[in-house]
Amino acid sequence: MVEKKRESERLNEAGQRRVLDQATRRRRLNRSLDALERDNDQEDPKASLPDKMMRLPQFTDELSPPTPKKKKKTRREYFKKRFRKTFETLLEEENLSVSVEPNYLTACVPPSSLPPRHLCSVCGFLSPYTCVTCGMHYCCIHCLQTHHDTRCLKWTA
Amino acid sequence: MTEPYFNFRSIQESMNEILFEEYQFHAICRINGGTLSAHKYLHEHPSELCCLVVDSGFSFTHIVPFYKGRAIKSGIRRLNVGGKLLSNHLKEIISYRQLHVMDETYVINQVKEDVCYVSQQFYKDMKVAQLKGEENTILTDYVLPDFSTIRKGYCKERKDMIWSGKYPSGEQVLRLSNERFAVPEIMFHPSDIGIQEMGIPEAIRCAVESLTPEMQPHMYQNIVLTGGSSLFPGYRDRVFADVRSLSPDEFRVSVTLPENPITHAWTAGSMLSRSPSFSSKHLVTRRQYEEQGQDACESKFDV
Repeated sequence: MVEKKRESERLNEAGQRRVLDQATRRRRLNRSLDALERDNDQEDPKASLPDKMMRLPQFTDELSPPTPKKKKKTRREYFKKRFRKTFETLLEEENLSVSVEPNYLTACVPPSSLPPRHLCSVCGFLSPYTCVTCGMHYCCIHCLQTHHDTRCLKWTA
Repeated sequence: MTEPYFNFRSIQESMNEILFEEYQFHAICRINGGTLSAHKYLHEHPSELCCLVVDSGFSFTHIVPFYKGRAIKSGIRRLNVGGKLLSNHLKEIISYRQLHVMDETYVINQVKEDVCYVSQQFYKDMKVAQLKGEENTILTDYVLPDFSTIRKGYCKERKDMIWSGKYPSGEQVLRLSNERFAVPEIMFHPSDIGIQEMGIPEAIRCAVESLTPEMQPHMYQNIVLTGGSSLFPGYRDRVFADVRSLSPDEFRVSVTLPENPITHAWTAGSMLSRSPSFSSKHLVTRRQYEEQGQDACESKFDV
């Protein structure tokens, strides 16, 4: 009878798990933060309603609801596609890093002197623990399970 | 016309061109929104020479010290946290936890304005929000609009709330507990999400400490909060409490929030435009622009 070689399950499991290093984690965090800065080009859902009284505060300065024009939409999208990333290019053009006087770059606020507070990425409460593989915070085992099922390394971002 | 601080030179020049040449304006005045607020504040409090304007708007928050109506440029601090970031963050967490709302910017904006508030004690509120059932005073149910029967979203009354199980009427409801105060908390601690920046009270201290020691007490005494993101309930008290704990003991701290922070700069502008020295100090006429070109605007507008 051939005996199966006894192996440590814990070490096997730990060996198979892929752990992201600090730089990758930082990159993922930066990408998610950049996503927070996007401008959302969505139309006011109340724009087509006839009743003016119940509307949310208007975000555009028009007296009558804008009828959806197909031509305008495509031109606007075309314009956006051509001049994508204009903010960064404008910033570079200004050459602010070499100028002496206070400018956009010097006005940036430095990092906080207080330690960061960690919040659970699943439920939002204070979290003492971080996921081993990807580094996201969680507060309890249930949240860790949810995290593994839904988010942990599910997409490369 | 108002513009943000440290606006790009190319945009300023093209704005001048458009206004003067295409629209044929007779005279223009380009100014920062905070400068207008400062003028109004100094107008209402003539004994004060300095003031510190905290303008938390849609894209970012600026903290600008003013002396006698002119901004002290080396003291301007900018946080990249604004209403847009708060709404986007709220969309993400609701989409992850409850209902996919990534396309509903306007609805979530309304949710943010109705339901979010600034907590005075973050950790205590966290503990309360974790309680179950009736004891959790922070938990609210927000009924989403469906644009046919429910035109506008609203919070459910406490007596109508059902603590466990679904609502029988079948409307879409968001259950919000810690998101209510965790989202505006980002303005005070951007490190909660990972943004490497100071919060508003720390940035106030940082801005004031970059000035000369004679001006510092005056700045702490005259802090003005403007901008749309200062409409959260509890914002003013929280800023006062945090700045009070960060500033030196001997200085007096006073934080004012005008009745309507959004229109404060506009009313200030209309008041300024009626003042006698407006046309000489702030306006550039078309004649001056045609004679001197872009330099006229560059020298006159202290933007």
